[in-house]
Amino acid sequence: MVVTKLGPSSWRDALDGATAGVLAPHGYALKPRESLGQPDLDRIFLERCREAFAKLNRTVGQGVIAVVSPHRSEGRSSVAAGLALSLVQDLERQVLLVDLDLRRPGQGVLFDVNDSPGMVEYLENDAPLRLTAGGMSRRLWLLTAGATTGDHVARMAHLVAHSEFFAACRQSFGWTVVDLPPLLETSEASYLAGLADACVLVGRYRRSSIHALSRAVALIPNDRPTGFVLTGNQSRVPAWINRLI
Amino acid sequence: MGANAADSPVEGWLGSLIVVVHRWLDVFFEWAMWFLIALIAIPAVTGGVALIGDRSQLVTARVWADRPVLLQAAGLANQWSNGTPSSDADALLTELVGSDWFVDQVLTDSAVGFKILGSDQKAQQRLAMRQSFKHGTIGDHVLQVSYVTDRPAVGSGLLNSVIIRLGDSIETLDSIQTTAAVGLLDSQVAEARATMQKALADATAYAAGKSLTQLLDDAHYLTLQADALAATNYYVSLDRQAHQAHLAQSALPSIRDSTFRVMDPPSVSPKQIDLRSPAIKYSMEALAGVAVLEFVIIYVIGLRDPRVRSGEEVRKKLGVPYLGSTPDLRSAA
Repeated sequence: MVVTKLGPSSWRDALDGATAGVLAPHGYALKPRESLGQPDLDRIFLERCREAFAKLNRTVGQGVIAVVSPHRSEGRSSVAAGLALSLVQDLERQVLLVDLDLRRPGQGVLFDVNDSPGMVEYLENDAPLRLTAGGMSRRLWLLTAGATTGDHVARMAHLVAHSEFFAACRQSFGWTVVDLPPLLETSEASYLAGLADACVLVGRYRRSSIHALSRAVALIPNDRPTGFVLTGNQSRVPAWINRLI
Repeated sequence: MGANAADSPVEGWLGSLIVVVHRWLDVFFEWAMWFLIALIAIPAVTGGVALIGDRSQLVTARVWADRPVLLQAAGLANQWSNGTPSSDADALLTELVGSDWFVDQVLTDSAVGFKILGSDQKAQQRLAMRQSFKHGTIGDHVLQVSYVTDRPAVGSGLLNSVIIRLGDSIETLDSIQTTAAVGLLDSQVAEARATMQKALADATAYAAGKSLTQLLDDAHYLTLQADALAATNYYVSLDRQAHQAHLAQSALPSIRDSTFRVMDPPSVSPKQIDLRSPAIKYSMEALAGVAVLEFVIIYVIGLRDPRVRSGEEVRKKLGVPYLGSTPDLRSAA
């Protein structure tokens, strides 16, 4: 039963069906049954995410951006959310934010919506795919991870990786930002990163080690355009010195 | 990685150097407050402890120095200096303290058992004395000498000895100078006397057998007479000067009190903190030590700490283009 859902047409139908349920043909909200909250990301943070995307966008026109980090608590989910929000503000296109950190999903908390039902419920049950709209002109869509136990995570990730999910995202959305699990703590993250069109590697200032980042970089396929974003930058080096050097 | 570097970062050794320098700066500014506190507090505490533990006291004395008026009247003053009396005495004292002979005399007078010490111990005592002894001038006539010691009685004795020995040296020097000058004057007087006697003899011999009328019209006689008169005047002048010099020479020991006397006898002065005091010295050493230690800490952390401190570092080491940095969020997931 699950396999029938995983073809590109099935994924696309599910995605289109989820968005069509709440959108009028011109794209504005018709029936906002559920809406994304405003994440606790300040203006400077979003501005930095916009700058990061602008630099990455010089090599990648559109598609799926995977946001990865070596370990947890390095600011990966915040950067993914910030990227998605800045994309929505800058582009006149629909943007999908997918939380694929099935073990410890974070986007639901960030946008103040329930994680369940989400990706897991769609794959495991007959539940319809649930997307929640928000952001500027409600062009940001969030696909939450859903609720699952540790045993099922690997299988769920495997299903996503071997389905045509990313292809359907490319067809239905201008940009898709995928919040992946930590590269060094899960086995599926590396494979999922390889399916994206570009990767944003996130490391936290004075927390991520250069060795961990090096190992994480080694897990990203070489042909995948990748850029690095440093989060939690609390450097006290005065700005004029930074400009000088 | 496939993406290009977004900016145009500095490459090569300069780029690597900039990354390393940035790491050091980042470490420094991370702990800047503590570094600053350590840099101030440790030297301050060290200096305070040294100040409390320092039991040394400053013994000071002042001496009046002048030149004998008699020497000036006899034309013997300023034979060895163009400075003021106090600066002359100060310069002489500097030279004397530099000599082991003088220091040994002073230490023999003031330090019990100095004579029986071994050569190494004597050298140590001399060094300690030179380090603790200070002197300087106040105006044209006052010479101040001081000695830092934790035993004021010893310091007073040492200063008394220095003053006495310095007075002796000045008197000896004056005497030597005066004796030399008097000897020179005596030889000049003898020479002038001989010249005078010869001129008088020449004139007398020439006048023998001639009448006074003839002599008054004789140009050669008049010349001889004028030479004899000049030689006599010169002799008389020199003789008077020599007489004054003899008087001055004989008076030197008796006028010592008017040319070199103690104004303020050695006494304990309030402790002063100057650049050579132990508190300042130890504070400076602590300051230098803390500064060096902080440099080492910054250097070691900068090199050994594996945590990433800048995106440029990741670009340089891993070849991943740096897209930017975000500020800290409390709820970073």
